[in-house]
Amino acid sequence: MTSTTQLTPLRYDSPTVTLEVMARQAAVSQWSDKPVVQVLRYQLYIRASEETDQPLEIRGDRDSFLPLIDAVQTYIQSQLVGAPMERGDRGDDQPHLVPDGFTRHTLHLGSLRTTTGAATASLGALQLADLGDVVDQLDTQVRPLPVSLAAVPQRRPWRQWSTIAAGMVAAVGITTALWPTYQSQLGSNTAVQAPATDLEIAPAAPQETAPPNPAASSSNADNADEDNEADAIEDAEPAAPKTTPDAPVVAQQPAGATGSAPKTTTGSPSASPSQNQPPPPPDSTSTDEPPLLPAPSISEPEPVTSPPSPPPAARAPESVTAREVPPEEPTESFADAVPSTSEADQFPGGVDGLTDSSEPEALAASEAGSAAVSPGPSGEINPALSSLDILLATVRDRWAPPESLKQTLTYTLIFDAAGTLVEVIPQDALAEQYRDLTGLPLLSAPESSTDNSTTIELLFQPDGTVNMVDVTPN
Amino acid sequence: MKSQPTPDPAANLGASPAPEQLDSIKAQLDLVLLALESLVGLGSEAMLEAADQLGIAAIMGDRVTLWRLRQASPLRKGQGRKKLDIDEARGLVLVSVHLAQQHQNKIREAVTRLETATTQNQPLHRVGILGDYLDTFTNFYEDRMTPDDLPNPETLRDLALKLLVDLLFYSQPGGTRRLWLALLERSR
Repeated sequence: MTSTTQLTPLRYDSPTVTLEVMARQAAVSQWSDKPVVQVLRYQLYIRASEETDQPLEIRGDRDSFLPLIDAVQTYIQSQLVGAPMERGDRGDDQPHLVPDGFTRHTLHLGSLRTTTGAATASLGALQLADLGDVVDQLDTQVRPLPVSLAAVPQRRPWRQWSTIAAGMVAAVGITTALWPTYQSQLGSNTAVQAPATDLEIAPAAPQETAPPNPAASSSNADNADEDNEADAIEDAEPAAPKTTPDAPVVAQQPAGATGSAPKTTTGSPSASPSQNQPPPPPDSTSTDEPPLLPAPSISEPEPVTSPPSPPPAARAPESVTAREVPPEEPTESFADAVPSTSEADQFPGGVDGLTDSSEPEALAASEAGSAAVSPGPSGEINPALSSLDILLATVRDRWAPPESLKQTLTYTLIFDAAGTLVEVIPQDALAEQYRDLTGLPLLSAPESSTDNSTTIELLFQPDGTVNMVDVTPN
Repeated sequence: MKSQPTPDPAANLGASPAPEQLDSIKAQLDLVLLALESLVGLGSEAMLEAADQLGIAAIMGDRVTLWRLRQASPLRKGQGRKKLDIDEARGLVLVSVHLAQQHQNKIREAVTRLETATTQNQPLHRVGILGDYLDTFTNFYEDRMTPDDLPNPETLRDLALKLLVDLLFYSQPGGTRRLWLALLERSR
């Protein structure tokens, strides 16, 4: 695994074509003869070479970039050879070109669209040659990565070690507390009862939540083992008790077991990747948004969460939330706020990693924002705020300001009533430029009315801190 | 002024063709140079000068050597055809692309006119630059190539136009690689 760090805008010009690429340079560049980059998004401008031509603009992200340039290169070479292109394994959703008369060529964009919504574009020979030229220029200057890279979040050393230490203390405590219970329960199937000592760790475990399904719990552990792709840093993550997002057992109960159970486990933190329903493909014409956060790796605190085969029932307090985070809805809300599986993969561990590691991050978040997730006077908890707590901890953890940054970056975040992040508004052009570095997730369609939305401002300081201001109207 | 000769600039093109591929390569390279000659009116002096600038004068240093290299095409009239080796083929690629890049503006202009005339269904021979090019190409071809398999006028016109469009791609920065790969692919 390698890390990706610096955003690099690239621009290539030819008389009728301009290619602009926003890429992130990969650390593996040091072993390459030219910079290795991960393309985040790109814009292709094709100007008219004749009066009859219309200018074109195509925008896309990494997923469509390599197929597009590959289609262009392959087609040009086939034209020069004079041999018809073989269809090969290319699907209809892949970009490809077909000749159209002697000097014209039709570019089929596959799943891409021009900014005007067209699925095809007619190119003249000059435009095709210039398109090939800009692609050549890019190939000459950089080497685009064919696969997505998992970026390692840049954590501060003291924070890593403090997190590890806290996790180890918690793990020892839990193991010590649970071991006698486990021994006394060996060979007997008694009712589930949370050890009192667990309350030190998870004092607010809601008892109305049905006890976890033992099979589900064990399968969670299995899934966790399978998903263990953590990098060195993530492996060193503490094995703190799992938090709310890691309690999918509720969602896995038979329907009706809990009336307010999440309607789906999609995006549920410990659902296996295959359980995650693929989200609708992002609209390529609206891919201004960066492809999410730069740090996929799955953190699995196996050594700590898996004391020597405790009975599943004894894990009940672990699998339910620590702290005041509501057990169900916020989990779903935040998971839904991650718009796509592929994009979620770029979280540390995707959605899994985000939630698996949320305990230490929630600890960090609680330093500044625990009041925000406390129940209100009516006893209700604003789900947006609890989602916010997790989000805040995540972005604080990830925010590594570039040295060149001297100003504060301000973003306005709007959550709907269900706690889904529905809008991120950079306050200025600089904030827009650095959007990819902030670790803010992409957006989801609002699940519920935005009438009761929560609006906050996040201030990313050049010194590495992230501050939050609640600017919700009224 | 003579440029500093490099150790072997023609050797940087990568994959080498098998000997049996060279016949096709010889013919295609000669046609590319023929198209360039027809469009921009350059002669052997320009080719020798390009070879000198590219540091491959050892491969083609005088008119006789150049003539023998081009006579290597199996399409050419005459006997005593020289066998073209790989380095000579690479040298001709470098010279062809170098000259195409030097005359890129004229190539673009011709292709632009071709696009316009085609779109408007205009007779190509009525477009000045295209008419001249087609006439010159046809004359050169008929003069130099063996009459045994001379193509008909339409086929010859299409060949000339295809070579013109190909020159557009070869005149770009990545043209050398494109031409070399196309020669290898075509000869398979």
